[in-house]
Amino acid sequence: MTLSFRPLLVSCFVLALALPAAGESAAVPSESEDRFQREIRPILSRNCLACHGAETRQSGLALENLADILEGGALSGPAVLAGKSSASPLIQYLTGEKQPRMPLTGSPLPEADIAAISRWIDELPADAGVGAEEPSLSWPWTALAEPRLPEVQDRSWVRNGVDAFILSKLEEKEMVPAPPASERARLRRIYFGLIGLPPTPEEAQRFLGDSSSAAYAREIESLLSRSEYGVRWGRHWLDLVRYADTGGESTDDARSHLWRYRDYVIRAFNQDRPYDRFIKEQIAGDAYRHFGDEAKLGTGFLYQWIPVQRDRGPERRRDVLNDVVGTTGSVFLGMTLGCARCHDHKYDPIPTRDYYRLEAFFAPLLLKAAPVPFTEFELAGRQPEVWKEKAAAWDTVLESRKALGERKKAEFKARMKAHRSPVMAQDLKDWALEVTDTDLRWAMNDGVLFSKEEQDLYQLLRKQTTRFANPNNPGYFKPMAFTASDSPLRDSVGTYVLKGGNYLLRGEEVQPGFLSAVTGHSDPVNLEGLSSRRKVLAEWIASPDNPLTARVMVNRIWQYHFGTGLVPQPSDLGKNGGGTRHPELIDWLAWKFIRSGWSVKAIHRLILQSNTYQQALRHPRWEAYEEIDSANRYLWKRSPIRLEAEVIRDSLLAVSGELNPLQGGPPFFPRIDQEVMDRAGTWWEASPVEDRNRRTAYMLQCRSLQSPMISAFDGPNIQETCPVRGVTTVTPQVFALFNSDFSHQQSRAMARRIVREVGADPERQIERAFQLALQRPPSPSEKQKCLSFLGGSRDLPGESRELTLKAISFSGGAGVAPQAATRQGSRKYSLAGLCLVLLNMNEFVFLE
Amino acid sequence: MPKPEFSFCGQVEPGPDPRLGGLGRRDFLFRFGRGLGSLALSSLLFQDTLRGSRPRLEDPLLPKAPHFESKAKSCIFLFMEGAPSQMDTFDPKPALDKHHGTPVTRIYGSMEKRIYVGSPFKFARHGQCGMEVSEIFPHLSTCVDDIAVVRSLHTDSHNHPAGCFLMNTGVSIPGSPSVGSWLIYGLGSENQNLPSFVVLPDRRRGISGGAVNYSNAYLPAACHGTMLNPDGVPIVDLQPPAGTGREEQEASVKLLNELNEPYLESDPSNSGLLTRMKNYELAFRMQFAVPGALDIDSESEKTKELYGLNDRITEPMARKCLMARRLVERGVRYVQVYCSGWDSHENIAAEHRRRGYETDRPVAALLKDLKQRGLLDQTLLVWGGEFGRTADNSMSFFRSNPGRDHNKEAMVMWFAGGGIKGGTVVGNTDELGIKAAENVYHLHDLHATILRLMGLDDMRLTYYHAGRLKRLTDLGGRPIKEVLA
Repeated sequence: MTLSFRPLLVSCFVLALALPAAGESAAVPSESEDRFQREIRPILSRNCLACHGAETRQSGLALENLADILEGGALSGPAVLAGKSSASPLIQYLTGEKQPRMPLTGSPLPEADIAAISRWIDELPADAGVGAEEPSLSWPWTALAEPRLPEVQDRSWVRNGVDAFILSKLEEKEMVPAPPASERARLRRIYFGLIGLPPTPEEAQRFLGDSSSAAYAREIESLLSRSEYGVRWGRHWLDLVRYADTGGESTDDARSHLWRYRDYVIRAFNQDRPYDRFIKEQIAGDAYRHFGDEAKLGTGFLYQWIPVQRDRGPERRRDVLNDVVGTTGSVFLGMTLGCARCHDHKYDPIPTRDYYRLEAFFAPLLLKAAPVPFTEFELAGRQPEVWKEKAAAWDTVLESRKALGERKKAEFKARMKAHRSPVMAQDLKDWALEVTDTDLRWAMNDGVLFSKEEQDLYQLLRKQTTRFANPNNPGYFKPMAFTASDSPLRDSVGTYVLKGGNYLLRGEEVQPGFLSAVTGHSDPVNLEGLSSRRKVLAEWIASPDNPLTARVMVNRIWQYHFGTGLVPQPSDLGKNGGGTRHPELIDWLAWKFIRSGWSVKAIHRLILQSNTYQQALRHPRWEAYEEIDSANRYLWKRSPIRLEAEVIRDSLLAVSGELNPLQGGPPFFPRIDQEVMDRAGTWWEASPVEDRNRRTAYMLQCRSLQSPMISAFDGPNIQETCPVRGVTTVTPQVFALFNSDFSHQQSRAMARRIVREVGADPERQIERAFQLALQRPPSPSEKQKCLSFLGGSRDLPGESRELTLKAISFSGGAGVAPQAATRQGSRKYSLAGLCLVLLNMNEFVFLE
Repeated sequence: MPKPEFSFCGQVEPGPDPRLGGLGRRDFLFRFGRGLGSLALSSLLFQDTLRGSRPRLEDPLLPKAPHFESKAKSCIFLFMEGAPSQMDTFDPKPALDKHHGTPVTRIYGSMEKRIYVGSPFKFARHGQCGMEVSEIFPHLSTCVDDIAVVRSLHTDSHNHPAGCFLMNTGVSIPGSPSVGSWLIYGLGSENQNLPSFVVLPDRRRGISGGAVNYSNAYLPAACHGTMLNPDGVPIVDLQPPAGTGREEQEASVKLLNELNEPYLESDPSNSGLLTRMKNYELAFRMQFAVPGALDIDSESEKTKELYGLNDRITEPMARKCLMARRLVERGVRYVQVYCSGWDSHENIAAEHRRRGYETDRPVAALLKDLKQRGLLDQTLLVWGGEFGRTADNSMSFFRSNPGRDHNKEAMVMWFAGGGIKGGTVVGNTDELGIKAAENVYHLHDLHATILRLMGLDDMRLTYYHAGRLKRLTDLGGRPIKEVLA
């Protein structure tokens, strides 16, 4: 029998030895290697690697890593002689002592850079690079064992293991953590962090009245049990699995059943489904009979590649496999497997062969839409018979539209034929006798033969009978799902190592097998008597012995709470992922994760209750600490978080009171400017407004057109797995949040809500607005500024409610507003205008 | 020397880092923190102060020094979507005319009997260089001494969307940054009041493959392409909804800044707070800057006539070409002008003639206008489609109205402007124009050439993503030396 994992005992020993020695970054083995990576490689990368990279190797020399450098090139032998910079060819070429002076193109290196390289060479120990040939496996490849909690001086700060690890590193650096954040800040953190919505003024009041640690813990529990939790955390998962309701590329066809996978994910988070089972369902749910239909929905994970038009069938098949293998590696194993498709991984111990051995698990994979009855969970709170009716009704509508479309087209063509010559400009000869669809389309654009109404009708019919057509597309309501199965020919499907990833260049045939860096060998897996290859892979990934799986997931959970993971590139725990200052903390969390039965909620509790999480943004010694650790990788304070696109949109709806809490079901179709849709080559009918006011997680995820508001606020790149959202500040954000109809609608709704709740008194209105948007009262000076914005400190006595309501809407055209307001006596700008300002405040979109 | 990759993060610093870093704006805050509210709407105060400080996280839009000295500062890419035919535009094939009507059996999708199609257009030599150009471009023919034609290009796909992705992003599947995004990433922007990467679409249809064609993908969002509508409201939500007075808007921005000010104290190291405040003022200025840049009505009657604005058929392209000139004049880095409809499977004689008529005068006018304003030197013009066309046609179309189908093995493009050696013809296709045969260049080489002309080294313009340093040209391209002046 071959082992699936390295024996634990040996690895424990390695880990124990490796960790203290590894110092700052456990992913980097030695001091000289570390320094090379930090200081020298960036210089080489900027100036030299274009010609002396691992692949280019001009005159045989690669400067990619220490081993390559010591090996040297064909002309001058080793590029570096340890301890002797002036005798090292690398320096001689850089200074021009040897000709031709390097770099061959571009200007010579700045002296400072050359000096840095010289210093590094001079301090390079004579044995540097020895043993680099066969580097011992380092974190995160080592087996997981429970780390001991470190000793710390200030024990009073330690609330749980998280704090112990963080504090011990801080104490090593002679730093102290920041004081705790305000109660309000902590409350906002857990609300946005767990459910993605702001606390209501009432919820805030309840907590701020009693902010004992028991109350804080109670608040966390209550949030974890709310169904909005799944909507928030499911969305994180959907980022990772490149979830979209359409296939992408030019046709961008609707994948009208994929919403069931989205709901499955949200449900799994709400039920705190054990993560190991969650993995199994997504990779091989079809192979676990006892998991039932619900698990089949999980394999929607596999059905998300982009069907690019290809010239040949095998190329299309490659697209599917590349997508599935690459995504599986990134999402579950935190390894950029995709690199190894064309060449051995440059940084991590993943040979190309391993890539194809993993691919072999997916070789028999068949993906298709198949009937899967709606489960009881999906139907809760829904009316299945209505869905059935909708599906049937829309089938009929579509048919009749198509028929009408054909009739009209024939009519138009007949007219064109009769008037053929006038369409063409005089100098254009060679007109055709037959009128083609293309001719008709162009004639419609010209608009000579056809009236505006006819043009519009033609365009509408074209749109309605293609693609999404409608939020009520019958496909959305049919009990179908995108499922996976294995081809009956599974045993005859061979997998070959493909040279450079090119499907025409077949190399050696390989059998299914796990990553050799984990198993310690590259023997094939024994598949005899097993029904599903994917199940074997799923079992291996979801095993507590897999060193990567649990580490990757706890780092992700950390990332979503803190804005940055302990390893900053959460889908790349390998050498390029930025390493971590806290491998032991990740191991401790991973250990707890597995021991809790793979409970994600258990990890939330550990993290949220730690003092590390509850630190303030501001540290009394921040200026000094910034010099030491500006990126805050030691967690000496909390870093601010700019809320994600979905959270901002949902918060607008929540604060305005317009949020429709209905969960699940087909996506809603956002209202997007017609112009934008035309340009993107897509079209749909917007859903009714109450539908559009649902959480953003239920918005149509269309690969060819992301909602401008979502994309402005760094929405996920839905073409591929998206492990980290960008955080940028660009002007389209202003267009989306300050100018858009959506924002103005929400501010008007918020103003109406405020009037409803507190009446016409401007001071009370301002107070309520602050409570709703920011969960705090305005300061006296803020109140003053807002009052003067509204014009006048108090409404005139006896002002009618009607007048107040009038003032809610935005004031009229340019120049009218001030005079009109003066005439009205009290109002200058509207309450809605004030609400809009509050919804645009930094404090509204940043989380302290 | 400036770092070419401002966020190289292989082993150095992992990015993108949501923590916005210190940015060294402390000094600024201490000096101006108090008075910010009253300074609202006071233009570029932030920017100038910031330049003096030591930015750790750069504003990706600040102008950056190129890798090489370069003439071209802006690029206008005239994208002839649908793929113009090489043998009917700039690559005459008299041998093919002799084969006209001859059958050939080959694989096009499947094995089929096809018929060779001679070009329905006459070619003539023009200019001092004697370049041969098809009769569909009478105006452009007068500019050939400024043009360098490359006849020997090829690409990887002959499907429209994949071809467009390849031309725009270098990769056949969606999800990679567009050429324009790479340029912004490498060079920054020269005008902070206008989007630096602009797309002017064809009103008749969307770009094949949609918005991912001008997406920043994994590059910073500031590098995104902005589609400006040449006919109506240029940018959606650039202006607030009707009924919001300018005065109210100003008052709102002022109040917003005043309310934001005390919050700066919550985290002095968060540069995002200040940048956000700056953006509201910037957006406000853009409301005037963008329509101003696109205001072609203010051009002289002579210019309008030159571009063909008064001809119904040339008007759409004329409008976009004129807008493109006005945009590069204002420092916009990359403008893409689309003209669709080149996909002439059928009736190429009429269709290509029509596309020629639509584009010839406006494009030639753009070239002449730039030249006479002294802007041609600093503007790179690139013209072409997503692939080339076949020498043969299906039987059915040939019988009705011959056209040409898709061909990725040969395509023609031309360059003009900054850094280009005019009057040049590079490479050749085989006798019938089926395949690039001499001095063959791949699309990656085209991209490397564009970057080189704009002062960037495609090998050094990298961004760390998904486990490795990504480039526009993947493993690198070879600049087309023959076109470089």
